[in-house]
Amino acid sequence: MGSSSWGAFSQKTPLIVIIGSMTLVCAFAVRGGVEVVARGAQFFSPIVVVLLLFIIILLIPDMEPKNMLPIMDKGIMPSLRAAVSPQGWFSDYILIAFLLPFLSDRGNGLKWGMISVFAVILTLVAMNMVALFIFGTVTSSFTYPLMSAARYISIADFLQNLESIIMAIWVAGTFIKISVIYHALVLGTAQWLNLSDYRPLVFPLGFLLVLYSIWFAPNLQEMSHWIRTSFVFYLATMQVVIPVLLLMMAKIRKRNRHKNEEYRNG
Amino acid sequence: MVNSYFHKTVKTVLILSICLFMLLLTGCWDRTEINDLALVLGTGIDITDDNKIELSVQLSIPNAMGGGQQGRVGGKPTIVEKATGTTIYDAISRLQEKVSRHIFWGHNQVIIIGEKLAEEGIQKHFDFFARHPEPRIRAYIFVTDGKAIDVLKVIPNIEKSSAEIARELANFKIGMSVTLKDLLQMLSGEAGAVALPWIETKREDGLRVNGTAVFKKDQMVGRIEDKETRGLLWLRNEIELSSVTFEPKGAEGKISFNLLRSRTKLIPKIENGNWKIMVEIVTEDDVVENETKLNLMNPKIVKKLERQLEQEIDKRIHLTFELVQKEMEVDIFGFAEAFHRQYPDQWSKVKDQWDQQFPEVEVEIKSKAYIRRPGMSTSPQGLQEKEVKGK
Repeated sequence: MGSSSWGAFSQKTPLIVIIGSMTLVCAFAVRGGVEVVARGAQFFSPIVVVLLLFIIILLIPDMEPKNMLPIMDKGIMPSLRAAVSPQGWFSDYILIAFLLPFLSDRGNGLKWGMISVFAVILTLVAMNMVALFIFGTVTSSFTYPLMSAARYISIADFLQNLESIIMAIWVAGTFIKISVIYHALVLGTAQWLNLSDYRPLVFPLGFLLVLYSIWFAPNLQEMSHWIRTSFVFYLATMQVVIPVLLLMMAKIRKRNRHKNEEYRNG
Repeated sequence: MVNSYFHKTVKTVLILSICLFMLLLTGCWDRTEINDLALVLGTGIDITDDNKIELSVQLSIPNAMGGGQQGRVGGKPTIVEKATGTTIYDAISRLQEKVSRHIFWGHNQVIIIGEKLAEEGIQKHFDFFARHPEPRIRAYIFVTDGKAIDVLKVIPNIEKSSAEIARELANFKIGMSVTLKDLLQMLSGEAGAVALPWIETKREDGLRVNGTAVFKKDQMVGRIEDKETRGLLWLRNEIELSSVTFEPKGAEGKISFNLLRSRTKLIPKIENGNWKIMVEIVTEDDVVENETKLNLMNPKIVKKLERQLEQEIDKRIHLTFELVQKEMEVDIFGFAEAFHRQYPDQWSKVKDQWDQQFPEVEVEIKSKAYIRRPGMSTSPQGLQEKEVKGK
């Protein structure tokens, strides 16, 4: 929910306006039900993929694959340590659990889930490689390397200043992501409170979302500090440990119920 | 009945007020009209005697109605303004006091550094250009003799502005061509050296890229001429336009070759503690001028010429090495990166003493030249057949 990655574009627009309008759009989508969110994703995904490919292809003339070397000159440990934080993103996949009950074709759920995991890995690797090939050692000194890379494009003095494409990708991507998380939040709360309908919860929770996102990450520095420090543990507990415990509990309860039934029937 | 009437009124009022409020939402917060902008085309950075930044900008003033950018402000297509401040941004805010339009950095094409500032150190002055969201990191960087503002003041004949000339010259890659991104990479690179193109305003209405300014860390320590710059480009695998002219052995007159394509590889080697770099060059050339009486259709003669062309290229590169490696002792060739990539362990031991190690590095050049085509003529033009050698 940290749409604070906006600063590069609209310097003077207050953060609350950006977060607020984004949340409002997402709220409408979530209120419309899971199908609206899914159709939105269906509509935006091809656009995002095409735009990303467009940016990558246009950057090819400026790439310097030599920048990649030397690979792991201090052993594999620094690479592994650096991977701890980004791997946290993958635990976000637990959100799929909130969508699975709505699938019409449940048989293919696992297959497409896996395909999407690989697609995410591929995009993350491709994006980081592009930034590295272009900026080399100075990659880390840019706040948004991919954005800076897109600003660097110049084909025949004509195709220039394409950072707005990156922005379009971000907006489309965050819309889907926030909607899915928002949907999970609303649905979970409704079930927890034993409500028959989740719709009355959408706007009040959206209001809280806006407040929390500003309270939680008032600026980029705090956000990235959090990602580097407590993020991993937070995600590990909330998105790995608790769901695994829940799964185990469900298994045990199911087995006990089976046993009880066998006992009764036997 | 009353109820439905009431509802209708509320609805109408609501719709009307929404329409009214929409008027407030035209465009976004940061909206700026084009006729409120002054576009920066080129920037010059100088240093004053009391250690302040003198920032000069070349501005293009777009017309409110569109329709080109020429023929205003006393017939000049661009204007130059300057201001002094303690930092770049401080100077910019002083500059804004004089310019009635918002100074917009999105179209800044070149940044020119005055000689004096280059000698004092340039690193801290480039942070603004990489941090502020408006300037682009594709701006080309130059160093000039004397003051940077003089380059901006040139009103050229061919292009609209001198900034445009500088950018086109950089695009040609006839000398070094360094963007802000490249400069940032060089500044933070392991070699601790920077090479920037040198631009001069020798003529009233033009600019000339003439050689390269050589920096140790971020301070300029010297300058190399055009000829040595060629060697440098060859070593950095950045050569695109080049002509080689020499007098073949045993012939009168000279032959000129035009470079088609060339590839340079730096292969580092460490043998028994000896640091060595092999420079492998493969180049393809065309003959464009033949003053001699040699027949260029003869494969034997072409083979001989190829050998001599290789020697000629070797000679040029050696010239650069003599000057830059032995005299200036600055690693602008990218040797440090080459060693780091190939020998990470050994590199980490010497990386703090690279300044002492670099002049000791042995260099071996292995070039291979191919003469592809004789051009549109076979034997030398304007000669009787009996005069032609090597039939």
